[in-house]
Amino acid sequence: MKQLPFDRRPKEGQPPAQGAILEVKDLAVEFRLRDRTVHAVNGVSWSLGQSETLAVLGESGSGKSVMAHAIMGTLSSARAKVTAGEVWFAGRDLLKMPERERRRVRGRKIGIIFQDSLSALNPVFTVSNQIGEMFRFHAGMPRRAAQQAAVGLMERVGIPGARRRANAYPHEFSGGMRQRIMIAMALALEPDVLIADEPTTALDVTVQAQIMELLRSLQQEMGMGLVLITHDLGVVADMADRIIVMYAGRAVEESPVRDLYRAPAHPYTVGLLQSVPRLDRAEDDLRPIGGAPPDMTTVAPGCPFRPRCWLAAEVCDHERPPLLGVGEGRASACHFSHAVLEGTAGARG
Amino acid sequence: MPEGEPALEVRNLCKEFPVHRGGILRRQAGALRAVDDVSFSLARGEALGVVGESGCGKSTLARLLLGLEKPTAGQVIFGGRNLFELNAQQLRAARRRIQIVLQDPYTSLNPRMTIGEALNEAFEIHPGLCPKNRRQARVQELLEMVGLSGDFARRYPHQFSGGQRQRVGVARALAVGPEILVCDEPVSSLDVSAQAQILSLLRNLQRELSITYVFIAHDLSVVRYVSDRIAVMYLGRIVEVGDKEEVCSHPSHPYTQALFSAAPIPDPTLRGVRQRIVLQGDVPSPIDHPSGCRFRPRCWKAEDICQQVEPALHGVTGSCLQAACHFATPQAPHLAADRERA
Amino acid sequence: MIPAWSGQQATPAPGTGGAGTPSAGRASSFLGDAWSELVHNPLFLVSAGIVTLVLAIVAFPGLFAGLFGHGNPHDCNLADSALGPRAGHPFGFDVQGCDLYANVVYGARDTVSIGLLVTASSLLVAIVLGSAMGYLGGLVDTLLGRTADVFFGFPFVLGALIILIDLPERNVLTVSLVLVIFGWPTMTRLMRSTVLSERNKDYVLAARALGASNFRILRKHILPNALAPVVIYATLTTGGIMVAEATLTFLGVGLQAPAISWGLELAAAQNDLQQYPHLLVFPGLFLSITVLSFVTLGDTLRDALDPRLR
Repeated sequence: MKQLPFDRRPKEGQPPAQGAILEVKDLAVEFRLRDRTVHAVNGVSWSLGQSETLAVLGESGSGKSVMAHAIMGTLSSARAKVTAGEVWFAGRDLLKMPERERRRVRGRKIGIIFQDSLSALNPVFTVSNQIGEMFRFHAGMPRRAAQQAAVGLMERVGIPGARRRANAYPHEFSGGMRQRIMIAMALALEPDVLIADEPTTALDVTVQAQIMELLRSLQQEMGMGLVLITHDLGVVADMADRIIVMYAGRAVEESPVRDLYRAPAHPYTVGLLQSVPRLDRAEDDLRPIGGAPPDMTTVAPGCPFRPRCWLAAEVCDHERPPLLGVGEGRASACHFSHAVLEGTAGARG
Repeated sequence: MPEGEPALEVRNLCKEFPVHRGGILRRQAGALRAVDDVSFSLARGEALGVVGESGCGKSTLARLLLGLEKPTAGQVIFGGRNLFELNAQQLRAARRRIQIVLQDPYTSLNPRMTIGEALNEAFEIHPGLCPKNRRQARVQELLEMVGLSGDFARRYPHQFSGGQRQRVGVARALAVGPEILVCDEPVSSLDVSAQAQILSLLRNLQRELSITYVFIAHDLSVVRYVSDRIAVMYLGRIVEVGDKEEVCSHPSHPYTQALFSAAPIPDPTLRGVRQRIVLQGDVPSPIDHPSGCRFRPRCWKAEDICQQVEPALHGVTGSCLQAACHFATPQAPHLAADRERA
Repeated sequence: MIPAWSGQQATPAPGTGGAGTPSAGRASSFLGDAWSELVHNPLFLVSAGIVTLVLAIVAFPGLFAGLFGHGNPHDCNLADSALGPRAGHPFGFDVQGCDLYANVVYGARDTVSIGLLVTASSLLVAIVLGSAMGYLGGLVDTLLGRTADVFFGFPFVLGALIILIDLPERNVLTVSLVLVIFGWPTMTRLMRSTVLSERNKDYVLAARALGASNFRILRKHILPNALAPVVIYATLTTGGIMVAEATLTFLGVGLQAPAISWGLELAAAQNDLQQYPHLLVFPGLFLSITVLSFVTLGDTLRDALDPRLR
């Protein structure tokens, strides 16, 4: 069983990899509650190239949203603490920046959109006001010019009758339209990176298709990097160039998109792919992953997926598998990743 | 195929919510027709999947089927009687025959009751179901039937994950031994892995216990997995209905075709290859819907007749499907790079 | 820049509900968890301790009054009028020459009794009416709601004054009655809104689907979940009620002599404040500490019972 030589674990303090515009190194986040500590993110590393779409795939509790907020510095809970890691952007570590400077990076260089558009938009300000705020605050535009720019942006994101509806309030728009408004706000200043945290989860499937289409075309037009955080395997297949699979606050697999779906290298990924009912295949029985999501309040030794894994052996109890290379641009955190690879590659034929 | 009387029959079911305008003198300005003339019938042991997006009325339909809402018109018939003509006592007895699994596992269980107490409630409300000395054992059986350990009965809901709570919800619905189970988006709030577990469970239970299902969801692939027949709803109406295989291999209503086209498929090789129908505009509000066919504003096939005459559900030539469209044409959806269907 | 408040839209503390197997060991009920948390909260322990002490004083005033030897509040000697603290009389004497300490101790009884009586009665009214309004809705809700609004709209002190002035006898019961008349709308409104929000929850729907009767739903599902905020509010208002009684008595329309209450003592102290400050300080101190303890107790209960903070 060959083990490829390079170790994907990043070295601390080193400048970012070639061509990467955003790089996360060993990020760890904890929530200190009254009687217990939740280890939401336990050492995640990845990098995003220019114009690349990186999907972060994980279920709830995997830490993906917390990670996004930690990067942006928008962790809202007072009990949340980034306990380790670096986030390199434009040659600087975002986590070590004073808040004042980070605020200038947020929005101008890195945009973010959330799942719930209704609570992300302020209900007492008109939408053009909110979009215009980006121009007023970051670009120092005067009010009228900002308003014009906002309307133009609304048209660009496909809101029909934008001029007429510029002074409407968020609740007067449907979910899909509000999501477009959020996208408009996030992209107002043409950031280098857009982080989209479950952007279409709350939307109807026909609207979802429209929004994904919009994101794709905007990304191509602006040449920006996109970090797409989601649990939807179909959306990922459609949009991503590379995928990071997260489980229990860690990255367990990293792979270009086609390789991941064709031949996954981690048991969790295999389980996920087998858990999704598919319209394009004749009906098989679903093979759900047994067990329940992990308890994030303890950091047990060994592999976090062990209780649910069919390959588990004794080594999995004691030793946490590191994220190691398993192929061209691929990595997996499993002691038996090669067995998984051979199995899945074989099965697909 | 099971012969005889249908297990569940729904006739011309309508539910309207009045819409008021004005401040002091609130006049009724119109009506929101959440469910508009829905009819179907199910044989014993059959599973009907109802699929549609937000505002199509599927949740209202679920409540009507359970008698939790009073309809504006129409009937829900099982056991030979119309649910809405029963008196209070008969209604309570009828509740043993039809039950519901709700969407949100985080609010569907009383946080102050242990799950054993939650399951036991069925026996307290219907004492004839199970004698007192057998109840504890029965609760354990129910828990095991849904894949949970019997000693979980003493625990409280907040100690469980979403998937586990949803299993408790299923167990609670099964406690009365219903013949008909209505599932209102039972997996929409769950993660992929929990979703798979619950779907598997529901399918297996249906086969083992021969329960008649009405399975409501917004995800076509989920609906397909559990159902024998599929009905597609749009703005309160059924726009297409038929055998699952027919609907999935040759949907004929434009909306159904759009749903298939928009459904995300976990296969990156389809990118750029798959032909997409991208609808214009959003799902319209159920309050003021367009004249004639409701789907007309978003439909690429729309002609004059679509604005004038609202199409009724009728058989589609060349298939066993029924669709409410003047131009229904069965067509295989573009789901794979090479269009070979199993 | 993402507007600052959109940070609200974020990650709740994760890991809750993520128990692989539910917490091993004994079943942890919601109340059980709350209790174990309270017991470790020093603020709770102190305030609960004081409240217990006050209740003990109310129940057995003689026991406490006799601690310094001169336990009879009616044993007065004009010659001792307004004398300051001295041996055997830690609080000194009041204007009538009665032992102030004994009077303060006995004063607890009327004042605190009114506080508890009004709170309990308002709570009872609130539970019954609030549940009816919240659960039944419709005409019942409208009628009761408008009635509550009328009472709510009355200026409290003025209204209480008008009623009390005309009453032939003003004792604990009548003063309590007046306070309830002006106090019930707020608690009832609160009960109504908690019942309303529970009524629409899925588990109530599930119970209806099972065939539960309205009464059963109220008793087993809605009330246990809706009561907590109202009970907490009640503990908070107990303090306010006692202050209200003191206010009314101070204005001369509350309790009357020969009753003993802190309000009366405060009223009596106002004339000679500068000369004999002890007449004000001791009853005032007792009233303040008691009210503060009740309020703090309510606060700690609310924090412990708020499910969102868990």
